[in-house]
Amino acid sequence: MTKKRLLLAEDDELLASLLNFRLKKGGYEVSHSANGKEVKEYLEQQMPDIIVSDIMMPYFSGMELIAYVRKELKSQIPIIIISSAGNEENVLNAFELGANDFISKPVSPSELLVRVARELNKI
Amino acid sequence: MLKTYNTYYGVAFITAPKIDTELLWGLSIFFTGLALVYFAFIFFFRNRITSTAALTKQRKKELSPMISEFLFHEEDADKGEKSNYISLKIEIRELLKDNFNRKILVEVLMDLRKDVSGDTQIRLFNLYQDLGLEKDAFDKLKSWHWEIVSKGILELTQMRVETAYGFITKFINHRKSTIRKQAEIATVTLKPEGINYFLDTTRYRISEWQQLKLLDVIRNQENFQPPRFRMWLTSKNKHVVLFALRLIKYYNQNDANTSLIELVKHKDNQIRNEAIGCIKEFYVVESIPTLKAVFKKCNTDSKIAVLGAIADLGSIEDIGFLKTSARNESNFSVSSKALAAINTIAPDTVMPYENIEKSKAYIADFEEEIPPKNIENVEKSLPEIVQAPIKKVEEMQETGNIENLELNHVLEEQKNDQTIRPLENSEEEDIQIDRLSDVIAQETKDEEHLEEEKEVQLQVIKNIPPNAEHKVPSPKKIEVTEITEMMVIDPVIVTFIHKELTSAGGETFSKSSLRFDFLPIVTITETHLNQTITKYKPMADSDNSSLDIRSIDVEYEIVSSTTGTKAPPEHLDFDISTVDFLPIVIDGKNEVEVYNEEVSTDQTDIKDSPELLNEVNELDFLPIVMDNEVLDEQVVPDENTEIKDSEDLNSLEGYTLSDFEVQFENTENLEPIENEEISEEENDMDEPHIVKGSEDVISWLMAENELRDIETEDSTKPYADLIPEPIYYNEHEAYMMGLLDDLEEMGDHREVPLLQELLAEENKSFIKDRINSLIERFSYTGNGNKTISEPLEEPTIDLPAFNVFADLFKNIDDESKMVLLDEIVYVGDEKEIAFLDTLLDSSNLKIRERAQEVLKLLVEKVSRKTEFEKDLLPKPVGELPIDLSLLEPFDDSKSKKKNIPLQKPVTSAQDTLISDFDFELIDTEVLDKKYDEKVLDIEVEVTEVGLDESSFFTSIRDLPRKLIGKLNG
Repeated sequence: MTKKRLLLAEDDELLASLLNFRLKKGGYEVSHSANGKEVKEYLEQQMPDIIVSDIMMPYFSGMELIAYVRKELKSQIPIIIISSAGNEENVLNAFELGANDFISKPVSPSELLVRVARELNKI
Repeated sequence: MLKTYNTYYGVAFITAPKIDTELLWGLSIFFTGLALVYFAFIFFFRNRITSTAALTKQRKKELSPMISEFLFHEEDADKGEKSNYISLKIEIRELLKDNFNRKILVEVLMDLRKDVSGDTQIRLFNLYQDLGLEKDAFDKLKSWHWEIVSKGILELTQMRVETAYGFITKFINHRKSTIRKQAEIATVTLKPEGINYFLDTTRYRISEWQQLKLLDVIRNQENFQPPRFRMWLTSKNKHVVLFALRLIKYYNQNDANTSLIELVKHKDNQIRNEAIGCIKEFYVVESIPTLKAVFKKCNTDSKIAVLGAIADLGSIEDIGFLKTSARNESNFSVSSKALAAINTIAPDTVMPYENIEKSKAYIADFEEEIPPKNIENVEKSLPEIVQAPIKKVEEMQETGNIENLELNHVLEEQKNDQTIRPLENSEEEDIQIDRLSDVIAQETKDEEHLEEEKEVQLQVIKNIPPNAEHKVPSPKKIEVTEITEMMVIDPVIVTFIHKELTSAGGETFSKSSLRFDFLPIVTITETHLNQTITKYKPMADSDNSSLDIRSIDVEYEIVSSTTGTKAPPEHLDFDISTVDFLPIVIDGKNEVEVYNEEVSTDQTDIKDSPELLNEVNELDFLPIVMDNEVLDEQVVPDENTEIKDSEDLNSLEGYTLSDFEVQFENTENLEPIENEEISEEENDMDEPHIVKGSEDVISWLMAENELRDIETEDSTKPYADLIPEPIYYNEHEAYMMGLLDDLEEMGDHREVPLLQELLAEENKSFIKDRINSLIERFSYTGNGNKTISEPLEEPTIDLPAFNVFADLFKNIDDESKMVLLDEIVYVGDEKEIAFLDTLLDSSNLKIRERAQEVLKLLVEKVSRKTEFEKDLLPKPVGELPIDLSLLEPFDDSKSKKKNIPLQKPVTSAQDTLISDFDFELIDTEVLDKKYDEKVLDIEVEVTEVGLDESSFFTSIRDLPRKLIGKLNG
């Protein structure tokens, strides 16, 4: 069985490394991008099965990423947003743009794993 | 030396000194050199910072996967993972020998702590302590620099090092506020009981922000059971009291009502306001007298708070106080709040009066039906009485004295209404009259409206037959308009209702449709002929505000007059005998004056009026009611009651309630309220409800004197049955129970044999039960699931408690155990010998053999190490048998060689010499003892081998620390 591909867009290296490790251990093929540019380049080349993205990223925010995936790439792949700014406005904006889930920091890696699995099972 | 230089134009403007060129050159060179040095320093330090940052980043990158591996390592991992885990553990231990690496690792863990939650966060905390990183934080606590100490506390707090609790609490009263605040947060965070300790011991101010942070900490603590914060209401630190009040409010601890009431008297406005806030929150109605008593001493904010509390908790009885406050307070906010409070207690009592437009009440157009001539004739005969109330109102409006309006008809209604409580004091009456008169004043401003009213009344009078003695007229066309009727909705809420009895279309009322037989028969003396009685009866004496509301004139219409205009006899078709149930109301001579202060002297004598006597004689079957008498009878008892109440107030040897309150105030924290002031305040307040019987005061006093336990016999009777019967022991029983008490308090599992012996000898059942319970209790070990008395079912290897290998050994399979045993040779030291020794008894042959082999190698290694250390210490560095450069803490090139120790063969013991040396942390023993307070207070002599600093600099660097250590003992 092929592993599901997961794009992790997170500028915090430490957290990214931690989540990367946990997600890989959870059975996913994880690609990590530290900023918006890399994310965009990655998406232009290939489409992952699911995207886990932070909102605050250099060059290309998480919100822009959602809009880009949904409107320009016309893709409906699940997008899970992680943000430390888990206020109502951000959450609503994210869902309005087409995010599938929203997790506020601090993140529980185990919880993220469950949410990712859930979103992938929905497809 | 000086030489004058000319300018271009030959004019000497400046005489400049000649400067020595050599000096100039010298200075130039000096400053250039200085600049170069400066730039060199900048360049050097900038490069250093940049390189350090780059190195830090690089190191973080290297460490983060390792940390992830540690955090997500699971016991049921496969062999490869386990092997990798062990090698990582070894590698990280190597890295941790370097202070820089330790610092980076701490930074990484601290950063990750913010980003992760749940189980991962807990693992992170455990990892921090497993790696012994808290030692650095403990070292920081000993620093002379406040910022380092603060950082240390923060680190220990964030990484939840509970063992640091004892050390950090010492900083709660540190003179440096940053340290103090950090320690406060740490104390509350690390242990649930930290908040108790903090509130007990803090002597400094707790800022608002700090209070918020502390609240946030305890709010987010799992399973936090808040203590009863009322315990700290007696604290000498007012900030503690304030914080306790806020916590009481937050946690809804409504068991401190008495203390809250007491704190209302606190001299600090913040505490007072907070106490009032709690009182409002918990609806402490008993606090109202205290609130009123302290009102005058409060500042504006507190006054507003007091009024707000009274608005929430108060009743109609408190309106007097609020009214007085509204009147006396010069501050708009306070007076406005008082009015708002009145309206909160009794809605719509205070009506808006500013910028209210005059409005006309709708009245039918009478002018069309009433001939103007007739009106003029009647008006001439009754000008004063009709216009009197209007003028009176106008005068009062001008003078502002609107309290003296006649409101008897309203009060009459109130009296008649059985549901309305009669007003018992002048205060309430005042407020009613005040509010009513406000409204009346607005009404009477409308002159045109009054004119119309006047005309309506005249219209009524016009239709009254002049000689209609004892008979109610029955006009064919009676148009009756009640000018304005007041309806009492509430004892203090009075509103006006304009009521038109006349139909809008000028419809006439026939006798049958409009019955007047309910009206009392009214006779009028000569002097009052043709008088029109108005609803608004002006008071003769405007100052007589204490007029009893029950002394109300009866509403009536004039039905007869002895002289004046004669009514045609045919109009008298009404038989007086049909209304024989009605009382006869005799209008006194000076009807208006009966309400003034000279009521008794100006009463009209019925006997002086012959017509009246005749009338009375003819109507002897009717009861005679004289409104003046009623008035007198009702006013006097009220005055007496008031006097009596006043006497009660002054009872108990002249002390008032407030006087006693003052006596029991806490002199330290509470502002004394002088007797005189309180008395004055009470007088000012005119609060009758404060007046209580002497019994109430005594019971209150008993309560205040903490004499609550002194109860009367009657009060104890109902509870007598609830008190258990006393148990009397004989000598033996008393001895045994005492012994068991001692054992319970001080004993442990070693007492079990003794207890069993005692149990065998004992014959008293209750003592046996007690012994059994103790045996059961002592039979349990610390973890509570294993009894000492029970024999072990199967022999297990008793592994050393704090051995890292032993810990790992418990949870791995045989293959992993073999790998681990190999590692012991490299990384182990003499501590592992005991562990290996236990493995020699293992049931597994392979493990036993391998353990034996490893033990042999380890003993050999340890013995060599000891010899080596002996040789090493006194010898100069150059003569050391090893290359110390290999022991340098960290080297990039070296770090790239991963798993070096694993690549070494197990059997080659001599090759492991270098790696064996200083592999364990220098102060591992200290760490192993969980940083016991005593141990940590002892200065650890650190032998730093392999650092890139010479021993001289190291000793200089450590000198202050050593000095501090010695000073601290």
